[in-house]
Amino acid sequence: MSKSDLEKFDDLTAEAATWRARERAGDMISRERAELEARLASDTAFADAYLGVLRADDALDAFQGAAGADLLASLDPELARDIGHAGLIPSPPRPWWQPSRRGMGWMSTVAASFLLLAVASLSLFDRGPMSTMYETSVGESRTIMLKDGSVITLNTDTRLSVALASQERRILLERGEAYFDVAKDKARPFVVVVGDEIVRAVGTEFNIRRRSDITNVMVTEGVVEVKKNLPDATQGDTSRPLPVPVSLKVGDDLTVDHEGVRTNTLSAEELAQRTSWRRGMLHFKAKRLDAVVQEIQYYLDKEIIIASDDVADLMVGGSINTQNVASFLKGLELNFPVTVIERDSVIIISYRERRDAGATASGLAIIL
Amino acid sequence: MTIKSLFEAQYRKYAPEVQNFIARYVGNYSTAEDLTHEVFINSFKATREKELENPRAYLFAAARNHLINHFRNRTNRRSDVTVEFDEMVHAGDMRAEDKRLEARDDLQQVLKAIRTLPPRAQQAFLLNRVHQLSYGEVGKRMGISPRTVENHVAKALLVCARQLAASTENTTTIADNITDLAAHRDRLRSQAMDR
Repeated sequence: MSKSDLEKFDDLTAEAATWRARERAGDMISRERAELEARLASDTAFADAYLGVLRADDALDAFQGAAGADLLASLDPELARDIGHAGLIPSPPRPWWQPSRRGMGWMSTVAASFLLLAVASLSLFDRGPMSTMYETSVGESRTIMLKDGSVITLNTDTRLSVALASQERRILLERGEAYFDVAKDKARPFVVVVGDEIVRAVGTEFNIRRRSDITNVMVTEGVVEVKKNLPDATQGDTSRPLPVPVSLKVGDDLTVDHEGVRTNTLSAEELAQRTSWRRGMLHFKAKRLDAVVQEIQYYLDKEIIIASDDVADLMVGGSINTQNVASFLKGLELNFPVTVIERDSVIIISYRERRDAGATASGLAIIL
Repeated sequence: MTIKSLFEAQYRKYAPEVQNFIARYVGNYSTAEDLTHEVFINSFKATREKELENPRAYLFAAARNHLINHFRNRTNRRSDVTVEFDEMVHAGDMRAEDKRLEARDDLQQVLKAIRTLPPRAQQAFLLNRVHQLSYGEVGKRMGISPRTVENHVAKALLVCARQLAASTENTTTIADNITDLAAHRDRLRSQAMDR
């Protein structure tokens, strides 16, 4: 671009930016609207400049709302802090990240889909590391990228918090399951605290799951170290299940429950299957229906009830889409002598006695 | 030539050019591809009866309009439901992950631009954009007129658009071909260090 071209581009971009700022006010009058459209239709160079502004505007919308404030804080803590220090952010009782213009509607949407709590709001003023909480509801899966380049995928009904400090990257997995793809940074170990355990990594990939007080760690790349999360004073206590750090390599699988610690090694295929939830799939090979139901229950906010033992004994196998667990259950009717009834809060699987399945189902529906 | 083969011939001839144009603004490959398809299909539907004098000019005009609508629709949809982060980090396959990373790169660029603004303009813009206060509300908080807030917002949009245009000029080929997560990470990290 020559100098005069550049100046022309800048002039047009400035004009386009002015129009866009006017447009975003939300109170553009029809004469202004018509003027803008006429300008766009008659001057392609202006239209291109306007498109450039739209692109920037679109990117900037990522910073909208509570999630946006958090994103900004993670990408540019200084900028987020500056505005906090200026004392301009909305004051309590309305939390500062809650928009006043849009009303409350979006709150429930955020809560229902991806609740990202900016617990950093107060600590913004501290010098310590910021802790950010991420949470998924039942049936959801989300991927977040941390500022250090690490990527965490949260499975259904999962809650964790992230604190990136200069010495250490610390994650607290409160519940659920997450897959960690850790960016290499020798100076800052990546530490996940889960239950009573600490999982430590530098640059590697692994899966951690904590459900019903059972913790499981599975390594898919590199090496991680697992040790007991104990204060130094009690480090020598040998009655504890994990007195010394255990080193896990690719394919290693460690489970801690009330009985103690068990490790075993998974084949590449098993490893792929056990982490396939990241692609929204669950795989089962000839497994009892009650065991399958226990697993898929995590993905469904309706309670699945197995009505009798002979239903629990059925052996099922195959792949289940985690977004479509209910229709998988409904599909059981095709292959097994069962009736599946879906209500507002429950799904009941019962044995089909008679050949006339329809009559059974509707009969039950009336009783319910 | 039948209508269908005429369409195919024009697609082969102009699609790469049109898609390149679109990709300058949408940044991620598969959206650019989708939008290009839509431009051709819409144009074909609208013009199937007549021979075009200048199909290239027609297609580019259609692409501009389509892009403007694309962005305006996104803005409108978002003002109802503010879960952009959710949209951006939508879980899925590697391709979706790449999209997120590309989007993240744009964010780094616009933040770089915002940092060049005077503090008052930064504040006004962030209050409007992040905290979603109207120009009037921002003005009240900062003791300035809504009109001044609008000017600050315009200025912020200008520097961001300029920064994105400059970064695209340098890295178009790179941004379009990133499929390797590790390479992209390194890039993000080195950018973070540059700051």
